[in-house]
Amino acid sequence: MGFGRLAAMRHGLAQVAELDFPVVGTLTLDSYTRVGDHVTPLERLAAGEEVNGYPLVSYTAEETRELLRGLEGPTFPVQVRHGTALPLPVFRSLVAAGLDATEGGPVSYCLPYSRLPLTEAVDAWAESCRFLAGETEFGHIESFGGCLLGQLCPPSLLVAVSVLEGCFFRQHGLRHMSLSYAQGTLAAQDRGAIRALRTLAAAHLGDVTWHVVLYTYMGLFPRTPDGATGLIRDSARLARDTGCERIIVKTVSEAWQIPTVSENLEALRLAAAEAAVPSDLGAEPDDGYYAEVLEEASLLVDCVLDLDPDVGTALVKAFSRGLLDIPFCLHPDNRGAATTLIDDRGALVWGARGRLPLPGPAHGTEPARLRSDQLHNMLNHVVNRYDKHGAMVSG
Amino acid sequence: MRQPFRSLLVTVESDSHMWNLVYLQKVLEENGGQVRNLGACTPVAEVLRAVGEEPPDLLVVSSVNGHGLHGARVLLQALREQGLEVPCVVGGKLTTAESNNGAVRAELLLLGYTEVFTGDDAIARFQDFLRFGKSEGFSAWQADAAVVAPWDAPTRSIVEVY
Repeated sequence: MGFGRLAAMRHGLAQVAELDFPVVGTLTLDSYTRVGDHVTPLERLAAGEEVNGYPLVSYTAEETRELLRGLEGPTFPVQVRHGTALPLPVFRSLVAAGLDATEGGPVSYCLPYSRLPLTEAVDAWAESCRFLAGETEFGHIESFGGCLLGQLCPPSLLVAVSVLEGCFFRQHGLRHMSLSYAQGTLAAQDRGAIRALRTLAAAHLGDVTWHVVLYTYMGLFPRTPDGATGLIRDSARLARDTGCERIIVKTVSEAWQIPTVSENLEALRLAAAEAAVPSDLGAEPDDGYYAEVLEEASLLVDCVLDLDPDVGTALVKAFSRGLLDIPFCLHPDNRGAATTLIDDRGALVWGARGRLPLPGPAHGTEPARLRSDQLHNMLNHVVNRYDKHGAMVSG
Repeated sequence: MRQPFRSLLVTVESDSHMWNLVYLQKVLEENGGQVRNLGACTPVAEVLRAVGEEPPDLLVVSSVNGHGLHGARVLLQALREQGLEVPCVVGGKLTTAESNNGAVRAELLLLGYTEVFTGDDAIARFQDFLRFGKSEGFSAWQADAAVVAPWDAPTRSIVEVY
């Protein structure tokens, strides 16, 4: 949740803090700050316009401390969400304001969100991680690797990038982290993928504390209230069924505009209520998906870590060789030879694998061969399903 | 118009969204366009350089992060200052609330955009615009004027009032 004006931001956080279930406050930064423009946000606000988040770096540390006074604390942690490929100014500002939790990663905040070379993002994130680890006792970063372009990415790549970014954070001194995963198109596949994420994280991040955070679907969102509510509810069930320690929810107005405070509160209440309902045991088995995602994600992680003892260098080499390749990502450092399809089961699968070190044919649906209407249908797969069936969709 | 037409696909500097650009590239290509896709968070300087190097038949600005209005103003002003004249259209979610669409469209048309595509029918209208532009040239488009040619318009009686 992010608002440009101090009073609006404080009001929003205060409302969230008053909820009667465990909740994490978020300071989501605006998209000028994301690209390192710290002048325009205050100019636009002064001109009477709104900006789409909180310009943490533009405000003074004292202004942010004042904003958080009496709200942020052990029972109401506040995480800074920013989307910045070069995060040091954001990290400095959040530490100066007394905060210690943020999110992102050298890959997950560069390739999908920036046009900066991956090598620059890797160097900047390495420095920023060391800064946070040095300046705070419990500095925490959540890898955004489980989201990438927000939709249409096979789960094994999401899992692999989350774990690899966790290895990167660990190498640069952080001891507290979380690994993300974004709800996909099929609950059984998501459950298998989250189990695989835990298995792989236990193998590679055994000496740091970590937890899993689930994101409600990050792609195009249902436009009907019933459809949006059904999707949010299913994400809460997914979090419950997979033991996710934290969930980041969307609101019913996601398809339309930046949500209001009350819409945010409503979404938090909805998710908390749903997560409290006992799990139904009739869910479709996810063992097949678990094995499939674990095999692919393990191959990707092992292949990358074998490239270089330095995780950042290994990540850069992997992308330049196409051993990691985010489907449809336009960043110049992404090879762009891999594609995703939604299969008959409704699961996300590889179309073309490009040079990814995975079993299966390299050539499926080449990126250029996919028509706009096919892409449009896949982008709207979840929208259509939930808007047609509303809240009855599940499992 | 030369076939295929050359298009330059960009977004505004603050906008990191990518799917709109991936999708629009395919739409443009399927309509016979050659696409140079400059990708997310396109810096104004990079758009100016690309237009200067090889003026496109159409500049397409797509933004969905709610800051498109401001970015579109800045971009057009920069093109003007460089003396670069090119038919340009803009679309997506240009402010943080859909209710602003009418005013935003009026402002951007007045500023010099050839057409503005927002709301539910944005893609259908963009496809119509591309079909028109391919045969008549993009700069011949008249926003707000009847899209339907007079000979295609439904017949109706003309009532005159004294």
